[in-house]
Amino acid sequence: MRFARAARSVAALSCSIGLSAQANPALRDGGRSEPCASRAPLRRAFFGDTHVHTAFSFDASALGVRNTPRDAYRFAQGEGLGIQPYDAEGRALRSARLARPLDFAVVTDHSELLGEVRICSTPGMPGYDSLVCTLTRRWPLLAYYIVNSAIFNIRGPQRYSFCGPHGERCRDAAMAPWQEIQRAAEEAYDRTSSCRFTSFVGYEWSPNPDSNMIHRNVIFRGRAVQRVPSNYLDVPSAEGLWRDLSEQCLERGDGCDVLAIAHNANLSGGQLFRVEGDDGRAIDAAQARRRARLERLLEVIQHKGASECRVRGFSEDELCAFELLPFATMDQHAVKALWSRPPSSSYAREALADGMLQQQRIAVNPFKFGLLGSSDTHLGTPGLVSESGFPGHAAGGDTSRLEIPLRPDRLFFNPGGLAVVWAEENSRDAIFEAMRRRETYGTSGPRMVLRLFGGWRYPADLCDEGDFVARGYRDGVPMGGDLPAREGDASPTLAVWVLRDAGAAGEPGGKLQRVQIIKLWVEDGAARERVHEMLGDPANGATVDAKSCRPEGPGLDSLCGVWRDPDFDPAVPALYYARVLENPSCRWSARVCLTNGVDCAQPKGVPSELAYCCEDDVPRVIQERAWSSPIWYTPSGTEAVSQTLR
Amino acid sequence: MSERSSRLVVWIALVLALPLPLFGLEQAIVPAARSLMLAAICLLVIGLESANGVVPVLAALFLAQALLQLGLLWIAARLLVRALARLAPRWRTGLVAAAVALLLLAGSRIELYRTPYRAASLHATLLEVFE
Repeated sequence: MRFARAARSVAALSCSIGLSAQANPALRDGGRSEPCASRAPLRRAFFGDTHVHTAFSFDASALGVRNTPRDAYRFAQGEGLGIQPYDAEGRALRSARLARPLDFAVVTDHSELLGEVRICSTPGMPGYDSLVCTLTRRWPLLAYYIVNSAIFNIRGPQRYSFCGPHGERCRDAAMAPWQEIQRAAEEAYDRTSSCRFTSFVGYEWSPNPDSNMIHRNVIFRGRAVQRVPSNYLDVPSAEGLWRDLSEQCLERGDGCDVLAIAHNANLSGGQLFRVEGDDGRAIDAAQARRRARLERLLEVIQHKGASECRVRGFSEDELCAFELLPFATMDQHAVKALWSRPPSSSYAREALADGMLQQQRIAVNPFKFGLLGSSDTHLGTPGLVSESGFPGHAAGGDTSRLEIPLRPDRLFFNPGGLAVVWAEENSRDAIFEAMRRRETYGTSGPRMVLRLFGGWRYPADLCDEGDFVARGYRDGVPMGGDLPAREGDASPTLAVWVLRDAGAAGEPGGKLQRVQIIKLWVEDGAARERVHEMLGDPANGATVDAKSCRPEGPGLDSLCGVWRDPDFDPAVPALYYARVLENPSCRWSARVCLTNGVDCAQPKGVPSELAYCCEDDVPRVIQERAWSSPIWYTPSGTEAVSQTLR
Repeated sequence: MSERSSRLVVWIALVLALPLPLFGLEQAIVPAARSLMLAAICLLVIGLESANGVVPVLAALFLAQALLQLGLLWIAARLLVRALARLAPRWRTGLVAAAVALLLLAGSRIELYRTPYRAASLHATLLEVFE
């Protein structure tokens, strides 16, 4: 009841209060025929997935995926979709459908090997009968390992000989899939006044030099896009990518607009957040500005692990231990003996703190990113992130191309998360602007609604006043923003409002347990962190019945409160973000044990693939969560980079 | 059939049809000949394209296992034929032929092999394992 009232209250506030949104006068949503009928000046939460692969990606294709970008967009809008394995007649042996459609999605196939995949799968094309193409068709998993490691995982990769002397054949062949990706996004975008679904053109730039992932998803605002997507073979460094995006899009003068989302910091060996440029020297202000201008967001959770923080590295926060991969780079994943501990510099929290240190050095923060989640599915199934019925995501050498596996994915992977943006309407312009201003948050799958505002004078009873959102915007900034100039001797004040995931038929939402504020600051040239319990009760006694996976114990439908920083020092830079925790629930791997009726009292009857069900190595219970984008405080006298951007 | 010929026939049959584990990035159960074939494919990629990435490791892994298996199967064939040495040549030939035929027949009818690198199903018969 309290939950329903709170939800109605948010909706009413969003529609009735006349606080004008910071509309961008130069919107470039080309081709929208009608304005959206539903527009919320105080913004609504839209749920999406900005990281989706289809059969156009080499790895997905080699692992048996047949779904195309068009299929992926249909799936995102709620249609059922067949997924691998396929029988001899080409019929999918499994299917999936979202319990709730997404509001937006971006297909981000790997830009590397787009042409090679096309050549190797199109009879008659020059190169089709080459050794490597034959290998990909006849021994696809072998090709997956050989080609992936030779193209993505080394420095200075070379195209295969069937691409011609300078690779032109493969570059030319890449044009057709790139145009198909664009067409699929154009067709899926709802241009009617209903504004039900938004699609963006995008791709993934995917280098793993020395096996360190420094990948970025590139997302275009509208239909004006790069003529050819940048790829690791031709553009081997992030600085090259920023240059390409500037020259081939932003500076073109035809409305092309673009941003990048970094991901899998956890598999980057700390290289995603390097503070050295291509020349090995510390980056300067211009380089930092270029990066901060384009790289606005980081995926904090996805199929291949969480990237928030790692306990006993930079952080002492025990709750960092959530969906952490046990190895540092993907080339270690198949052989346990090779696993090494990732450095703490591979995680968002240390990078966010390092960004403030860099700002002290060069007056620009290169790591000023917001947070969101996504799936990184390689099945062409955006938003398929429920722990229940998880079919795997066909990545990392998974062999579900050949048979329906008892255990659908590698145990250290997870279903991924969702990207949530606060936008006025479900249109390309509104969502893109929300991503640019970092008014986003990530969830590990559930659809909880999270508001975070930062200011100097929110009253302690703000939640009782009935104008939470309007005052949130009026007297401060939302998540992703910079605190305005300090007022008198006030301390930063954060206002948080969370509604639990209402769930859907067959997919009940979990109850809320608590909200934490994570504060990072810089003191005496070193980064510090503190985790503050803000709302809810960490010891509320909620548990899960391991036999049925049914949650038990008390939980909350909504949480709202105002928090004032008790240790604020106006002389030092700081940032704050909110982390919301649900009550404990069963992890996907525990649900698989349950579905298969594993009886650990009869160990001989337990198939080897499910032996983990009777061991303690894999966590059975998790706490689903959401992470807001940070709000930054910069002492006066230090340049606030956000004001110089755009 | 001479003892030497018997040994050769048994060895070839074992190499072509006896399911053996093949360790690599995926675990397979295939005849030694298939392991040798995988090694040859990797060597071909190295020779014609490049040695970048994991392909040299895979080639070495497959080749080492294939050579080890060939050697062990040679010893097994020797021991088997030596055990049959007391029999009359006609009986020995008959037994060897029957054993080989049984192995090939079983391999052709039953999905004895696990072949994760193939494009088709994960389990294969002898007729499919070399596809």
